[in-house]
Amino acid sequence: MSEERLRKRVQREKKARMEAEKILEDKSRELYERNTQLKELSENLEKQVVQRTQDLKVAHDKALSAVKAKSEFIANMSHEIRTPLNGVLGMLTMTLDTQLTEKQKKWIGNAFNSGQHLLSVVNDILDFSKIEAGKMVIQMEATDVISLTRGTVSGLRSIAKEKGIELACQFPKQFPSYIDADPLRFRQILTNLISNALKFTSEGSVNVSIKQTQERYTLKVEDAGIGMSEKQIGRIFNAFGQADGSITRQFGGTGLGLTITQYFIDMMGGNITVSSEKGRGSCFIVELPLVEQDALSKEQQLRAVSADGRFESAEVLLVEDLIVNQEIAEYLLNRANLKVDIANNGKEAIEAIEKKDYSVVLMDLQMPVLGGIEATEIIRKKYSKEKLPIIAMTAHATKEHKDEVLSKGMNDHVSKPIETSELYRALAAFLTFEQDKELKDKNKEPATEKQQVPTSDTQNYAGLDIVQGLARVSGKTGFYCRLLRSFHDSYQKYSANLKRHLSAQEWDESIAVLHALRGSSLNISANELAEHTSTFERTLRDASYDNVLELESKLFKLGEQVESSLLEYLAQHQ
Amino acid sequence: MKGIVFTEFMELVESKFGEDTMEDMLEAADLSSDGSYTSVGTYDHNELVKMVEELSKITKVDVPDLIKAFGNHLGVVFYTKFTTFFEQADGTLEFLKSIDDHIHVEVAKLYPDAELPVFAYKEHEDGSFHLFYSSTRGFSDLAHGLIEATSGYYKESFSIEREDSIEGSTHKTHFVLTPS
Repeated sequence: MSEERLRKRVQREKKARMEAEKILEDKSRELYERNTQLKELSENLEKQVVQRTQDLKVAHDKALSAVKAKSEFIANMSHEIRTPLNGVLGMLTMTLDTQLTEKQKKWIGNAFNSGQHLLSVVNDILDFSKIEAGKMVIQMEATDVISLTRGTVSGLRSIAKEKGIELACQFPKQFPSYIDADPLRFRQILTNLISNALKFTSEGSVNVSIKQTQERYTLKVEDAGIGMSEKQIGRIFNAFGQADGSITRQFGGTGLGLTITQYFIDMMGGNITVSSEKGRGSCFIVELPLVEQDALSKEQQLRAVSADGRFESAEVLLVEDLIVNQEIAEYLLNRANLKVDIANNGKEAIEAIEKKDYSVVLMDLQMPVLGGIEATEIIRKKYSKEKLPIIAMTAHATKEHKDEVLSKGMNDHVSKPIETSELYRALAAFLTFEQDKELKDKNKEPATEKQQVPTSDTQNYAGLDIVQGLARVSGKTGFYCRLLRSFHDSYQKYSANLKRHLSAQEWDESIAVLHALRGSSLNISANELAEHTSTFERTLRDASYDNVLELESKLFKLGEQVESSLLEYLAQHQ
Repeated sequence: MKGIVFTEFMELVESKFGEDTMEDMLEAADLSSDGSYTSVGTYDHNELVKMVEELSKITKVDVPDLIKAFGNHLGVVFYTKFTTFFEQADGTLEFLKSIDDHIHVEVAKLYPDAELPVFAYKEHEDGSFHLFYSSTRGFSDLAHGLIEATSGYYKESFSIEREDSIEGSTHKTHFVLTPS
């Protein structure tokens, strides 16, 4: 190779090398720059992530506290609305028990119904806010579902009657009365389903039936209402979701009822299913697990049986600061044959029990001067639970709350607004029922008492147990005569009213008259009449109307018998 | 065109035909780069065309044969330098199938300015494999040589038939590979 070519070649190689080096330098500079950019970018990204996470957390916390504030506000507002509303309803109930003209009765009845509706809306909202806040507690206990269902159905009968819809019930003859459920919530489930059925049915009937299989209690509520499409069914269990917007406009409602219903059923280990056809009606089926009867305590059964009635006279101290609540509680206690003294706060209560022996103290918790819990703690230093039972009355019905008052020395707990049966059940643990006493008296003292009354005196008065009647008034004939006269006066009124209500098929009104008649009969020991009245009343409450005529004629026959006997007795003893 | 094609071409010319032939070729081609190439650079593909034409004149070997021989050489360089790509395929046909979808995708990442030819394919029921090459540069012969080198790597043998055509500025070649 020539020198010239060699030189060229070296030249070429050198040029290539320099070019390669330049490319490499450019590339490494580019690489460095890219690297720097990348690093900045990644640092920025990290900063952004930190910043955004921070922002999100703030927003999240804000949202959470807003929701919490909203829930609390709703819960408080509902509570604030409920308290005065209960006052209004209590007063209306009392007014309804007084002598009223038909017009007044209708108006007050309407006011009462509207108030009850408002209360149910507020209760729904309160329940829903509790469920949302995860604070809803279900208190399972062996519950007498049959009587609960009967009671609920008979309470809704007036709505059905107003709309001209038949509300039919079918209960199996043999049914274990007790299932594991929260009675309060169970009633809510029933009320929701039945009142929905009534609401959406304009003609025809609503059928409520109970069936029982080996392990399950099945409740079926069937209506002949507007029905729903598949799509609408999917929506009804959502909160605030009704079948569609037009439903809200036409029928009203919060859209919370079924959401709450489903929640309660879930909590009780059951399930709910719906079938429906548009224009034909809907059918809701609830299944709940049954509990074995052996699992029931005797006490529970006893308490459930004696939910309604009169006590052997006793003195009760009512500690309550609100006048409205005082009046309602006093009324309920008086009705149950109890004498009531009132203390306006814990301090007055302590002073009162120093002066008199009370059988039971009913104690509100939140009161001025001295609260219920503080007062109880002071009382317990001197009087044991056995010596002086104290029943707390409070608007808070949670288990925690109940446990707390029990730990502070109270014997039991009833929730406000006071429900008659709950109050009587609580009192029954410390007081004696009149019926129980009668039984005891019968067993204990037949011989001695009977001897005091001439036998001839007792045999001729069919329908009247003169011996027992006199014994009740400590053998004072004059007083017994006064009772008989008073019965005679009211019997005329009762029988006229009863005939009228029965012929108009006004069942609720008929039940009320029968209930009153039973009380009057017991006062004079017209035992057969009292017993039959009670049977009649129970039959109507069960919504079985097949034998009404028969029962009615027997009632009046027994009534006339008592009337003639008492008139004869009065004629002989005056 | 990537520098490696040029540097490998120079290597091949020097080793097969000697330094003097290479210098004659360079002088006759009178290139703007003076034949000074580096594998990391990028150069005008016309310089390669010019060099091959001059080499053909000097050596009296046809241009297509020269390019195909270069393709054979380049194939060996590829499978020596970029073994991974070859190891990922089980045989010639599978490798050829992966050029467009895999290998050229990776090459484009490494050299964003590279202008790569397209290799479409079709398998016929009779067992023949149809490869459709298209490029603006018209290096069908280079592709042919590369295919041969590839089958050499996998120790497979195919009879290769081809049909060239030009559509506008695009050179197209339809290769048919039949196992032999």
